[in-house]
Amino acid sequence: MTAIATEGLTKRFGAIVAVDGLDLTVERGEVFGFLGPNGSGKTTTIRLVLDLARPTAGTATVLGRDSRADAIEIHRRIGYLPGELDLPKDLTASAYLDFVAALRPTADPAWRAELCERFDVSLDRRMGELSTGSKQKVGLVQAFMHRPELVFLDEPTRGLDPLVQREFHDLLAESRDRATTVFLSSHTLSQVERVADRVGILRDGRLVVTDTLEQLRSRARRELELDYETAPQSPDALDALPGVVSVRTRGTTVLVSVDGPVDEVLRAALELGTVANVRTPEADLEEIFLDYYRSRREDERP
Amino acid sequence: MTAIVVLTWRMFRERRRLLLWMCVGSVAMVLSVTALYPSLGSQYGELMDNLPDALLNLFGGGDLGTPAGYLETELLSFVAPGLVLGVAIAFGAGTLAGSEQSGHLALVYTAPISRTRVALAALVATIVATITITVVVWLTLLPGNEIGELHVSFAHLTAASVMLGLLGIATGALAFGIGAATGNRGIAAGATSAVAVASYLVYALAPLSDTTNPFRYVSIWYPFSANHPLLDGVSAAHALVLVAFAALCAGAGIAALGRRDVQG
Repeated sequence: MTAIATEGLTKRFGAIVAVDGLDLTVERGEVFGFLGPNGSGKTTTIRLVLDLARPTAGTATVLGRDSRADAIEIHRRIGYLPGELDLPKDLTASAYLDFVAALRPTADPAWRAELCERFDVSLDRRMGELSTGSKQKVGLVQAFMHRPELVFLDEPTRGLDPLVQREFHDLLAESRDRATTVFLSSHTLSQVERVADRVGILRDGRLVVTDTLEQLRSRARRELELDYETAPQSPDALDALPGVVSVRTRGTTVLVSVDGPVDEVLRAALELGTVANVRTPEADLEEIFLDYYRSRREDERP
Repeated sequence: MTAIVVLTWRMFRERRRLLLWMCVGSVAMVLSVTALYPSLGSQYGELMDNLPDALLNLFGGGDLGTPAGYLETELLSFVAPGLVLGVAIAFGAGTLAGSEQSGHLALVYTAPISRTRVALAALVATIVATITITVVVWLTLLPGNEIGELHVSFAHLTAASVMLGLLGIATGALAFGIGAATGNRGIAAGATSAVAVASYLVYALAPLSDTTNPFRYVSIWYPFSANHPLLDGVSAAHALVLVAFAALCAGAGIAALGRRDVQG
């Protein structure tokens, strides 16, 4: 069962193509990290799926319903934290949450109170006096307080201190346990790395990759550091193996950069001499993401 | 409370200070104009007799020698409409387009409420605010009428207030409609103010020549005051024109809102 499915979803603003033929599928119950640099079309995609903006072409279904024809039914079942949350300055957080709750028939007061306590929301302060992070906490509470089946979070951790971020990650983990789908948009990998089951990377309005983090990691470039007992005769032989990017020698140590599986490289390396030690730092996900972020027109992936 | 009532109240409440001050201003204006009638009325009559027609029309064109003419010229042709329209335009442009521009409707547009209902809440808030200030003008006219010894009948004061309220609602609906269609408070308030001022000028100045005279019929001031409600009561036809104009503006705005992208 899919939570979100888009087909050829496109949005143009004059000559600018904000979202370009997007085919995206998010399964029910997963935490989907929607990544991309600023201005890549993440927020526009969310706006299209939520029927705030109308697509130039293509369609979207949310929880099995048509995003345009069944917008009200969809809105009943989703939660949303906008990227630029603007709250009425004259209201207290408590009064504002009352207002938002009154717009929805499915309010759950006990759960809302629990969320406010967990995020330590300043309920009695006017929102004009609150910091960005404090307002963001009010935004998070309102997004989850009616127990939606699907939550859209656009840059949710903006301004949150590490303690609140941890609470937020706990909340996401619990949501997943309750089979709530979370669509988490962010421009930084670190915000979704710990919580996302799958990620999609958007660049210039196109989806350049969707995959699990494990898969992405296995495709990542690794540095192998092989300590030999004596300097090997011809380490350059490794250079010809598939995936090998570079081979350098430093005394008795050989450093090999590999894209993808390291199996063949290790076998070949053992043939070169007696290996005393192998070191391999954790694959650097950040690097892969930066690669996807950069405009590399020549090797665009489907 | 249903969602639409909560939303209407929220939109109304956000602008209540403006409404309060405009109401205070209305009380002060109505009381000072009516209280000055005994001392100013006759002198004004003589002064106005010597003014050219163009200027006289600009001041409202009533017969200043009579209490009803004085009230129409000094208060109901320009000053009171200015206050009522100020509220109507501020609410009409602010409740929907203004709230949307401030980002306050993001969570409203993604709640399980149709855009039409969101728009209706904004429209109702605008109408309630317009009626509120009109009622304040009316309720101040009653004692003012006594203080200034104008002796205009209760029915005629009421009739003039009803037409004032309808002019306000028509103007508020225009601002609302433009705001709903564009999502831009500045355009809605600016364009509506321009229409209101142009309407007043056309209504006042068009009769000066036979060629321009027919243009007064396209002014929204024409149905408001052409039949002099202070003298002849409410004209059902003119009232209907203002109501129909309001309905058309609001309907067109709501239809346009359903088609466009919204902020949030």
